[in-house]
Amino acid sequence: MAALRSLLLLAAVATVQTTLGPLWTPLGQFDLLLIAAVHLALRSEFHGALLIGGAAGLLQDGLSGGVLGMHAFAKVAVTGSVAALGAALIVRDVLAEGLLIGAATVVESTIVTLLAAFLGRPTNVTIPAILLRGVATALFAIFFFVAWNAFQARWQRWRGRLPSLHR
Amino acid sequence: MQALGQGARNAALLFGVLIFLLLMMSWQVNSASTLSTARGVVFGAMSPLQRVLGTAWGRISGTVRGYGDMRASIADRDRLRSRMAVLERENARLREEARATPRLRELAGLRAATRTSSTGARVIARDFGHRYEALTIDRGSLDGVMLDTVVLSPDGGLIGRVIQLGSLTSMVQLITDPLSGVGARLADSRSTGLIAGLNGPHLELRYIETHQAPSVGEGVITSGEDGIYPPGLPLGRVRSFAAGPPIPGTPLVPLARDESALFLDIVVTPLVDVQRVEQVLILDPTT
Repeated sequence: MAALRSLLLLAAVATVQTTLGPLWTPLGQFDLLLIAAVHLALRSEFHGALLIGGAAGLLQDGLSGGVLGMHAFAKVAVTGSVAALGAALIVRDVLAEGLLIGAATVVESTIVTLLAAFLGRPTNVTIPAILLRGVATALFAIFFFVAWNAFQARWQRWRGRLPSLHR
Repeated sequence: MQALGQGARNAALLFGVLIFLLLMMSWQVNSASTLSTARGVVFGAMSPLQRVLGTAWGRISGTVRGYGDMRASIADRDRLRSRMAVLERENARLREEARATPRLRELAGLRAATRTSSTGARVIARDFGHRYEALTIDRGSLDGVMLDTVVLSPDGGLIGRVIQLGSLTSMVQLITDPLSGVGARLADSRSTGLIAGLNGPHLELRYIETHQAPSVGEGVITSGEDGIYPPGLPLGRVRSFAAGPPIPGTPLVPLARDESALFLDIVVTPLVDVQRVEQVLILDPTT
């Protein structure tokens, strides 16, 4: 059930990334799928993390015109490493998770660029562009998680007050 | 010891999955195909979601944009009224000339250009990780779209062809994709070559021999020799050209470089900025 929930979440994120990206350009600069994949992988067993990485990558490959498996390869490598790291260290702090996501973005983009070169597909991605993407994705992830935590706290408080209103 | 064994098993599993994915990629490259059943499953499952979200977002942004456009259009209306009077006179003159055209065409032995029909579509999705490779439009097999259907910009510039079909949406391979190839012709010199993408904003025109040097700004159109794109569609303009790389072993001096190269390296600026296009035209494959 948890696996199905994760897959549905990834599908929703992939849809948002590909659909809203062209309409609101800044959204295209962040790798939302990687944010979701790393977030889920940190909270999963190793096998689950590999499944999450593979599913996220195949979704991205299926929705883009690239070679099927390229992003899956990079994301499996990243989520596998993140799950291994998550087993050794407890990463629950928003800032630490954001930094981890930034590093994961840099690693993933580097792997994809190297694979593209390996498969003979010319690419114009540069090292500064990869680093910028990593920083942007980390900042976006931190901002999103802080906002989400604040929203959840308010929601919990609001739900906690409901019974007293009925009394 | 048990934890060590678990770690080794996990590493082996990760390694196995990565090897499997590498083999999958190699198989695709060797089979020279960008399509696969797995891609079709993913695309087919996701395309309805993309279409719903894209349509909803398009309506919201369209309403907001519509208000701004309405204010601008009031000023345009007054300007256009005065312009219309001028154009009506021009139109009358052109009608007179048009009456004479069929006779002149007959005299010159030319056939009239084939009339093609097209359908409009909206860009609903794009992977920003691969901005110059593909985009998704909101027309699919239910709208009569077929594989290899040609897609143009509203002003007629070539954008690409359909490589993946869903019932409601289609994926379009852009001409800027490095895996794309379009038979092309220089509009003035009539030399033919092949346009390939560079995964960036420009295109490369290949296989034009060094003695057929184009002029900067010369138009590039489709040649129709690839069997997919009809001839005469505008692709772009020559941005720059140079002699190709030297034959290995020859000295790197300009004279040797020019004389030893067989083909020119021609960079073409496409007519359409594929990153900005929001609406497209789909050529009816039956015409």
